Amino acid sequence: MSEPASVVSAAPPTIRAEKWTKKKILQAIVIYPLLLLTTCVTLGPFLWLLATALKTGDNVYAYPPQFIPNPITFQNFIDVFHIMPLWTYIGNTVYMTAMGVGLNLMLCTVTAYPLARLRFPGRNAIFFTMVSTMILPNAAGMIVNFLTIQSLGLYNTMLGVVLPSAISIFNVFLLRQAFITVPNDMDHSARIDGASEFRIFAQIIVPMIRPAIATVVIFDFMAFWNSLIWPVIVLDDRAHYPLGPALKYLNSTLAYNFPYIAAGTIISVIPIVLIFLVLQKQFINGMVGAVKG
Amino acid sequence: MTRKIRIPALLAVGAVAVSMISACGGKSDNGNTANPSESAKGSPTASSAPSGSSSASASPSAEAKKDITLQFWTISLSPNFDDYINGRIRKFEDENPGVKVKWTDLPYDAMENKLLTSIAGGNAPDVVNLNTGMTMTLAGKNALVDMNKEATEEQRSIYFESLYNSAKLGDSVYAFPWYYGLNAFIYNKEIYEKAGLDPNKPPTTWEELKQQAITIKEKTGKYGFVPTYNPPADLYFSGVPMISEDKKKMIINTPEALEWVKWNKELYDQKIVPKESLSADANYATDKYQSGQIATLTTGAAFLSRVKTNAKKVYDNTLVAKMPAMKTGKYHAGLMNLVVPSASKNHKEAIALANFMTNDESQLEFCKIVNILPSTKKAAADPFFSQAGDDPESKTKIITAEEAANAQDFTLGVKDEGKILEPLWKNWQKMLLGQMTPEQYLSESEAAAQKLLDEVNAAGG
Amino acid sequence: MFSNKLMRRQAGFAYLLLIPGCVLLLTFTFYPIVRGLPLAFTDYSVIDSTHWVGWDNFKRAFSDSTFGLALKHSLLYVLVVPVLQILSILMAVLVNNKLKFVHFFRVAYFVPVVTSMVAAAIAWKWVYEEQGILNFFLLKLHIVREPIVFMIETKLALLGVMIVTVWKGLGYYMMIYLAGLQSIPAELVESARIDGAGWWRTVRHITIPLLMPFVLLCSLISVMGAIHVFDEVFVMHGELGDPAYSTITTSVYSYKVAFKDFEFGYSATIGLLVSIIIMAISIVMFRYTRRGGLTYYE
Repeated sequence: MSEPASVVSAAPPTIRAEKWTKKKILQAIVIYPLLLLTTCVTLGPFLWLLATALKTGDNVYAYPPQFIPNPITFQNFIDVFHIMPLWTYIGNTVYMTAMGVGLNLMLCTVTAYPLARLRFPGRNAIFFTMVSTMILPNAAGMIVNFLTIQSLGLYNTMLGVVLPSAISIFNVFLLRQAFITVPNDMDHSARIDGASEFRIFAQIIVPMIRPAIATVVIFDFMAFWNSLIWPVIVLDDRAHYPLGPALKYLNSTLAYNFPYIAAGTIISVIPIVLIFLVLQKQFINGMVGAVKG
Repeated sequence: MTRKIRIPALLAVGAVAVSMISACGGKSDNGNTANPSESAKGSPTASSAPSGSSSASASPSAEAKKDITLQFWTISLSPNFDDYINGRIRKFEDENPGVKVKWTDLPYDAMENKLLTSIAGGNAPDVVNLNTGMTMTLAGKNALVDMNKEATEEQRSIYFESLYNSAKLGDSVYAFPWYYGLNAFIYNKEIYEKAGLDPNKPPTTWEELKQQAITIKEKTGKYGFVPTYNPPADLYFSGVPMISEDKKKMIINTPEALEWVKWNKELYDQKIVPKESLSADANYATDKYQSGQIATLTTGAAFLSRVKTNAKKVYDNTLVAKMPAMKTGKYHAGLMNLVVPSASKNHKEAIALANFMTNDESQLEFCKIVNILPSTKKAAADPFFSQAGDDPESKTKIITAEEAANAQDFTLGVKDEGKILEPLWKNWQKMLLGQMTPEQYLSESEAAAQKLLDEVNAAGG
Repeated sequence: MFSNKLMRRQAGFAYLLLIPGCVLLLTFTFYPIVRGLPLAFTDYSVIDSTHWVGWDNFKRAFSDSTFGLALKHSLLYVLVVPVLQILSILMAVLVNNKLKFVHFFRVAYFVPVVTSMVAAAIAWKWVYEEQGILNFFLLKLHIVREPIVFMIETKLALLGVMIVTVWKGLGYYMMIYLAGLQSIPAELVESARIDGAGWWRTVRHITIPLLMPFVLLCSLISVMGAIHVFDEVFVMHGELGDPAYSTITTSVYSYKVAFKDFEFGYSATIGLLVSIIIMAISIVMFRYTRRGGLTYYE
């Protein structure tokens, strides 16, 4: 795997011509502080949550606030696992998310591809109709979809939770834009060689847009992982709830404990961060290699 | 290159497999739950009043008397009170053979969504836990069973009349009252001493409360208290009639009202209370109290246990006294109710369950686990509420139980009251922020509420 | 260039691919919209009987000052779009470098996106509070003398929410742009360099044009998101857009009307009116960016 396109760098042109070491120095004095500053802003509130989750009760509400927890305790995390069957909820979430992301990946790719790269009557009409639904109001959406799910016999099933968002127009749009950027000579030559349309789609064009696909996976994973209201509406049994709604039980009036909420949030964020890490190494960096190879 | 393709492809195949398994699982699951036979009925564009058709279907099921499953929905009681609720349900099922109860506890903000979609889908629950505001809104839409009509005298007689009447609309009452909390005057001894105040002389009137708060702010720089505003209820308990006997005229702009509004405005302007009180809830107040940033916690005794677990130091410095009564001598009880939707197919059994969950025995047991108050006469008279303990928590229990004799929830007793009272909420913030004078606040809110009331009366006939 | 047979084969394949997605979209996206539109002319409340009320809801909307306020705030909210897009493009360019720890920075920028709104709101309230971290720094640096109560200053409250939106959105759009940057063939950039093009010329003539489809996508998504903003406002300022309606947006208002007042009919009317406005904006946007984003490589 070759190195990423570092040439698209933020370095001013004057430095570029000079020695490599100079570029390194520039990175150290301009880019890294910039990166770190941005990190403080983006990560700050989150780090505070993390700190809270690691604090003992007395220190959570201390004023002036304690920035670094002392002593550090993992009791809040242990407690959260005790209070509710968190592993069950995590299992449910994984199941729901896997199904949702898988369906989305498949459906959105096959829907976006023809809209971007195949010629057929009605292409623009279909695309603009899709985009228009992003604009049109959906005031009764939840109720109508609930009725549909019920009449399909999917009430209280995970498929019922996933199906209404099994294809997202946003993803279709995103993938379509990505498909468009793939140069046309790729499939041209394949067609001349007599490759089947399916082969062109699955083996030539789809691999070209893997960064976009990775993005779709991450976004979908997030959307399903964090879905709050809809699962509660479709599912009847608390034991089938995914993590998001289940964690809301920590936020009740009669028994509210902020460190627990913080701990619950951290627990729910970790898997997404892991997925993100895995995917961005797997796909995003691999992309440049794929183009070159 | 081909090697790299496989990952999405595998994912895709996996997804198909997963969805197929789940589709199968889905079908078998569905066999167990109530079948959505009524789903066709609740179409959103043409939903005819569901109350009519379902009350008709109630009688045959009552005759059958066999294997009824009641859907019982509560708001965020799980997981802390799982044992209690499940225990009560088991007892109810033992006493009522053939009746099963399926308990669903919902996160706080999911209730409205889930309830509405279920009613639309023709699968309304049988017993639902709602606060008074929600109860009245639903009652105004003819969605709830009238307890005065369908419950027995025996069932109705166990509650305090004032609490039972909180859900009154015309001659009908649409809920059984359940639990509620009251405010005690919970204060930080250390801050009181620092301010040069005698910790043994907590305020007995609202005027004293204000003076002490001013002293605290001057001497320590800390805030005296965090008011959690509820303008309609606050005005009502200050002796403002709010609405005429015949429910035709709003009466808000009175001297008592002006006095109360000015009292608040002054505290706010002089920064005796935090500016953030404007939209503060009990969580905000509790957080500030347990961090030692405010001297008193006046937002509900149930929050004291939180202070105990989160801030032991502050808790150990905490003293408790009776809350000064408002002008009317009454205390505001933010009540939780149990209602029976009229779309329920088993009114009789549902009412029995609602009554059972709120009866003396059930409520007393509940109060022993968490710092709340019972809405039934016998439970409230239990020695449990007068047994002395020395810690702040048990003192609070005794104090709030004493206040309970004068507790009441506030309602206008008209349809769409949430909407009618909205100007009072909307303008309250404007008034505090200085966009309106207290006089304007009262006159404009009264006029706006009157207009809305007229519309409701004209439509409702 | 190709034979008719090939064209037909291509069209057949296209329809085959489109079927499953379109069926689902028809069921769960189009159908609710079609069912929902007539509600704007009714007093549908889910629970009570429904009547046809004609244009009453529309008349009400035009004289409803809260709706006017909500609409104003929703449109004002679109101001986050340029800020969000420019910052996230810059961030994407920054983390598209081959740097040490670049993976860490990408994750760091992405964390706000995955943090639930409830948790984010709690964290941001702590930033904005009278005794919060922002005032702590402002006071320390002697920028202000008295703490500013950001949450209840009517002039600042909406701005405060907008900042949260930007904070939460940066990583999201950065990801899309990063994917876009990465799919620009390195050869293109390299050959431009060999031809002697400077950094800015390369960015301007290669990176930006090739990024345009993504810019269009992101801008459109972000305009929709801004006008329909709900979570941030609802969680931080409640269903009435505290203080004194200064943060209420159309989505929050229509939610409140539907689920608190049970006036789904009126809520549908609000949704419809907002959509009409968005449609007008979109048409302008599409016209304006047609050359950049919608051209095919044909």
